[in-house]
Amino acid sequence: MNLLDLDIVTAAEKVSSKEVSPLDLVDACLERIDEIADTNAFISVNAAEARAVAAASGDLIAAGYRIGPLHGIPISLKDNIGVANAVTTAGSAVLSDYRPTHDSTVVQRLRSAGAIILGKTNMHEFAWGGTSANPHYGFVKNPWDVTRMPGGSSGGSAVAVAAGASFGALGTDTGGSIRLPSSLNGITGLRPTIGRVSNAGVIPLAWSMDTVGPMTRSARDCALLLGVLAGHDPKDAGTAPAAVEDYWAATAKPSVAGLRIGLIDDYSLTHIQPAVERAVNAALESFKAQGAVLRAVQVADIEGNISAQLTVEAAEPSAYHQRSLRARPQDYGEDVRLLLQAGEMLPAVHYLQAQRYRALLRAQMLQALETVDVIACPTLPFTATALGETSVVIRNDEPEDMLSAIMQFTGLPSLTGLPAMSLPCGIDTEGLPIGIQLIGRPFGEAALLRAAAAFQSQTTFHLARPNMAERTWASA
Amino acid sequence: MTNYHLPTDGMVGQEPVGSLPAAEQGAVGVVTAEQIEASSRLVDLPLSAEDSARIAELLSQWIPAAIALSTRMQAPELDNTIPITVFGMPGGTWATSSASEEVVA
Repeated sequence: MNLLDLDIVTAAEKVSSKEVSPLDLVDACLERIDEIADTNAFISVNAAEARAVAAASGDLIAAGYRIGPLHGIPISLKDNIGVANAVTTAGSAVLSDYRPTHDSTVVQRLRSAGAIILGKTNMHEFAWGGTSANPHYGFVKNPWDVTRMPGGSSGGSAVAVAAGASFGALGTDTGGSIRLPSSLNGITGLRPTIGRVSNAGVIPLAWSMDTVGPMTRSARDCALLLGVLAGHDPKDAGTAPAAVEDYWAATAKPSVAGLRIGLIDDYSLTHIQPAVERAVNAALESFKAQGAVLRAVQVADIEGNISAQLTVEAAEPSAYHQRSLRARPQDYGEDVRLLLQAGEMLPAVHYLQAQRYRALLRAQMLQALETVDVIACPTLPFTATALGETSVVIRNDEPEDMLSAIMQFTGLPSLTGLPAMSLPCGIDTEGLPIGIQLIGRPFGEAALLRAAAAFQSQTTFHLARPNMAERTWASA
Repeated sequence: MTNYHLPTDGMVGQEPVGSLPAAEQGAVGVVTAEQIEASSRLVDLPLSAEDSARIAELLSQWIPAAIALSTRMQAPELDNTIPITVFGMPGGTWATSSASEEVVA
């Protein structure tokens, strides 16, 4: 049995039954972290602390105590998520020595559930980008092909999970930063409804769109992690008092019989690479074969969503970073520095019209979701590009700006605050993962997880792993 | 920075709806380095000439689409549409030591 092939659910069961110890799991992860060092997936790993906690966790099991559903499970954190006394850089030299004095709420919840914090993962600097090409801590590399980018901004978290260096990870998602790298690395990632999970103690990108979420190897694992993370937090006024569903139960006997899957006219299956189109269509056929129904839906004002994303995502970080941008401009990478500078040039009226547009778009999405249960589309219109690329070809040999192209599908739930998840649905001809995105109703994460678990009960894409044995890391 | 076609702003057929050709000099929304330099003074942000030029090139891709969106949002039937954002106060009150501590950048 290779411990690193286990999902969280199975590993937790084996810890409970004393078949494996938390220390076994941590040591296996630490060994894999060393093996994939060339991917630059981690910014910091606290091996000594993780091993000490694992030993204590094993002692508790031996004494008959189980703290919670994640007892003894190693979890990694994107490096914009604050951990008490641990360096939390947000992928920037600006914060190279920043150590919060308190755990973020999500870390408190993980610890309370028995999780072991393994390390902090690399990311696009301050989460302002979708490639995880980090100039300070190294470009994160895709374990399926280390000459390719892993997506971002939670690239290191996705690589850690895909490569077996962590059983699960937390990411943050503003315009797609959980779902994009999940898609490109063949894992399952969920962006919760805005307000479902606390942002307290997390370094922001864009306040009105940021949320923390789980990145795992299966929908069942996602359900387990989200159940730990979700809920109102008095430290974050943006969190909602809405009741937390039983996500775990939703995945126990998953079914999509009668599920109405919406496809947005002239959007859901448009302007995507042929391999992505084939994989997403095949996934939709699989849903149909399980009893789901496909329906066309209309979202009249979908045009404008990329512009609104760019405006909001540029303006809000620029306000947050105003002081540091003036005091320490040299400590930002060039791409992020330029984006932050550009954000200060945007007229306030454009920002507010973008926020009004979001309200319009949300109303239309909610209307569409009255006639269907979920909306489907690819997570990305393309598969992983070469490291360092700033453009991508989707159709007709025409290069497109990476930042805009990467937002094509993930921005819709981000702008409207709706929950969405990416799950693996195929592999292209070059062996690179493809993801399908499901978008749900507000606080409808259970329905998404149920559908995803049903899909994964009939397919094996989520079980595919990068070929670690044949990987020649040094060649990249 | 390469002057890319701005894609993917909603789709019809195989072509992006709202996609814009590379903005031409003098067209609505085209931004010049001189305008960036003037704007940077409004926010007291020192910029090198090189950065001003690169930001102008970037915003020349973004601003025409933002103007188009702003124009659409001027429609009378949208007069009652208010911004989606409600800004909350972390911690639920004025900054406390633990809340303000996280404001680090």
